[in-house]
Amino acid sequence: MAAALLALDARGVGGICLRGPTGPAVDGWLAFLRTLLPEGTPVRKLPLGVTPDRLLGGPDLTATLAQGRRVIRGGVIHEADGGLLLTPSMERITDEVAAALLAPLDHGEIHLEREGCSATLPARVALLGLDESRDEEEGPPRALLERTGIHLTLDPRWTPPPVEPWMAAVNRVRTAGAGVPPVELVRTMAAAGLELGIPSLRPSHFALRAAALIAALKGAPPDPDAVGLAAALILLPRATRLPEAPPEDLPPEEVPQDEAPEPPPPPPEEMEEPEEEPPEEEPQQEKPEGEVEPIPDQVVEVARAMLPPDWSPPASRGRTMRGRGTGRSGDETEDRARGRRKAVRPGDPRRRRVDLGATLRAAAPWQKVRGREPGQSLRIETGDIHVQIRVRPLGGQSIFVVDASGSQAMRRLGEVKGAVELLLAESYRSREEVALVVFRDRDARVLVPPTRSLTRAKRLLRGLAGGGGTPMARGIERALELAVAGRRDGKACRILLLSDGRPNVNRQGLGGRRSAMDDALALAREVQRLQIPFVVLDTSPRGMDFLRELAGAAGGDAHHLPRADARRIRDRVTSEGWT
Amino acid sequence: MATPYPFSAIVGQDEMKLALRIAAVDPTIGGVLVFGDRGTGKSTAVRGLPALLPPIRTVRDCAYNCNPDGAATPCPTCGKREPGKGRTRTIPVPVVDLPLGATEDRVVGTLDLERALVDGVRSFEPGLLARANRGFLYIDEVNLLEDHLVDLLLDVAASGENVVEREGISIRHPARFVLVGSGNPEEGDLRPQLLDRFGLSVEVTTPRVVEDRMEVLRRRDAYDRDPAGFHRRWSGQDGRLRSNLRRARKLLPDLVVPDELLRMATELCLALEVDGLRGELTLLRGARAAAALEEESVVQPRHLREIAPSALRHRLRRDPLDESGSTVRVERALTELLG
Repeated sequence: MAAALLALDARGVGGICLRGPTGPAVDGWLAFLRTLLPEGTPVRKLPLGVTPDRLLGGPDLTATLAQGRRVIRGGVIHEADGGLLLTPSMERITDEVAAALLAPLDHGEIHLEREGCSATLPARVALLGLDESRDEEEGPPRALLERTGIHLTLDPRWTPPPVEPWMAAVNRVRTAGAGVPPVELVRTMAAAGLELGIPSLRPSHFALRAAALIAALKGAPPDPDAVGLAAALILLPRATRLPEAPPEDLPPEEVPQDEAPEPPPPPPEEMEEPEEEPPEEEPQQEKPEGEVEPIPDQVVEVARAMLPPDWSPPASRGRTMRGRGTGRSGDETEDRARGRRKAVRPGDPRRRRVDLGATLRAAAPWQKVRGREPGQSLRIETGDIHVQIRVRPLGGQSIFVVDASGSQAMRRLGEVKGAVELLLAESYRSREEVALVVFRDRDARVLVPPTRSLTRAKRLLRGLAGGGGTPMARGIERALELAVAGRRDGKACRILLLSDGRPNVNRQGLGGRRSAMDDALALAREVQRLQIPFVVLDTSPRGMDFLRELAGAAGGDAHHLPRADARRIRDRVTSEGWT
Repeated sequence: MATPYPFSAIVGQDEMKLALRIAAVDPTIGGVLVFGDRGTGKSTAVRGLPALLPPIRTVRDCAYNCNPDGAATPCPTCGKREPGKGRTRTIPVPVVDLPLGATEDRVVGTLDLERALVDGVRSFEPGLLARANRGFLYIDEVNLLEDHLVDLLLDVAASGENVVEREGISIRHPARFVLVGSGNPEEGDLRPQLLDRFGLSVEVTTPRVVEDRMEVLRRRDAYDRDPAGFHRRWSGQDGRLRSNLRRARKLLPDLVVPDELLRMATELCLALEVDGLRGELTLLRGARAAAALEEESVVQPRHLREIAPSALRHRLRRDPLDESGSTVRVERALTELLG
């Protein structure tokens, strides 16, 4: 169905972010989509290392010189006008490229102001993004995810359905059109976004269009099934809460009386979801009494029925773009010799490496003005010289692994939260990323994926739950995964474990002191093997031998901080030379 | 875009609308930063601005929109002209978009490539800064713009002048504009040093009430289907705003700022530990412009209160242990001070 929607109105439904490992399923899906697309629809591939001139366009130097007038050549985005931009490995797309995509996705055109060229080129494109990230990674830039309508996780066993019936339906709708969405549908979608905790109206727009198209494909008016499917494809993947579960921090008197009895209390995993609570900024505005109407129940029910039974609102995915503004060095440091070429700019050849191509290109147009002497092949002036700005990733990643089990859990979590926020606030200087893994009860999870955004971390840190068993091994395991992923991106990763006790849940999530301790020690040795710096902050009243043993096994130190508050933790981390 | 979405048809977002109108009344306020959720009408509001502003008279054929009656810093050509002479034209206030992929040469201006190739002549081709003179320069996703460009823009915006030294050409031309930046903080932070160089900073959020959300969707739909008709329907509203702005500009120079109010502004900044004088200055100018927009002759404490969050929230030092956002902190200080 998603393919059919894209084939009909890719921009209207906002394109797609297809999640799943590369393989026959993704290939098959793409091939299926291609057969449904109208003939001649451009599908341009966006290579990861695409240069700005090829991406956006710029002067075509050869043609400009030959014809003696300015010739502008459009980039890949412009070439995909009216079609799709295929972005493989969307999670690895650079911030520069992602930033360049925003305007075309929003306005359907490229406003080109580059290298002596000023032009507006049509670029009515939609993204066909392939997200190959794994769970522990942050995924594609959030700015792109926001502008991508359908978020679909493809089952690796997926095989294409027969083409003919789909082809026929698509062709029918293509000629007949989908019609104007009725007012009730507008209302439903506007309310649905609100109920599911999606502040932006953009997804509602996409879902509205999708619902109308789905109905048209079925040859029926928009019924709950069509609306539900549209919601399942576009709205639910971004949901930050479910309408059935009343927000936890709502004072009891504000809970609608007649709706309360039906939904059972959400299972514990859902309680832990960080975003189930509405943002704290406007608690009153979030759900003013009587102003938020429940969406027609069937819609969410139908949509949920299409998702796995254990589905819960996903932790928010997507990485924060680096914001060119965060620091002069960004999270990359300039490296004159090695590193990725980030930009080419006019500059001083004594300080940076000269970019020959760009220098020649800069000099070429002015040869006539400069009055080249006979026999002289080229006159290059200082102003022509372009240098390469090379950068390599800098900075570390502090991965906090926090024991949220037992009675002291809430207090410790509160302080860790404070420490994380302190560190992030200071990371303006230090360019440090912070991640937070929490373990309690039977399992561990990544509460805050590596991030530098204080805004984001604060949001994720809300709604921490505590209590239950101590699956320390699972916690260390998740932290290791993060560290390995971070290392692949060239970051210096460190793990910081906060606990006041001994584990009693093993790696498999089963109880039992002995196996739980053995597993934790085994993982600590793995930390040692991978040479990842490891520190334990022991917050128990008298200090735990086991935690010292654990730190030793990991090749790190244990510090006894019985009254660990946010500032002490921060000071400890800082004194380790970590930031 | 033939008929932009009317400014007055934007649902809610009063703080943003006020900040933009203040910048239109008093361009010295130093730029407006609009941060917040997507799809909240940030760029729509900026593009709707020209319709609210009285058109400007410029020297015809002047690429820098010079004032025909003379300017403090005229462009090189107009500097040789006798003020008040020559052909003029009337144009809407320019609102120039700075796209993210822009290169520096197009922003500041560079040699005209075509003339160099064809005629072998060095001539200066003005860039976006020239086009934005006496108007607005708008950067969507300002937090994603290259650092060196943001620095450059803020420098030019502060000095009101663009100096180009390139290819043996040396040019100095006026570039007085109001810088308007927008962005979403979740997609990337803005460097603190840049933050406080913006005069006003506004936070926008999407409407959280179904009726408002529907109204947004409905108006947008009506506009998409018939831009011209939609524009006609709102022209009365836009017209009222326009005459209000015109009167406010006239009132501004003669507005009385009581000493009491100056003291309040200073105390507020002290209470919030805002460094430097920029905060006080913006606070004062903002309150004055807000009073002018209400067509008052004396600035009142309520004007100060109205503008304080926008003028100060981005200048507070971060206190990560204070859960409340900067807006709340400004409000708190206001309540303590003004009751």
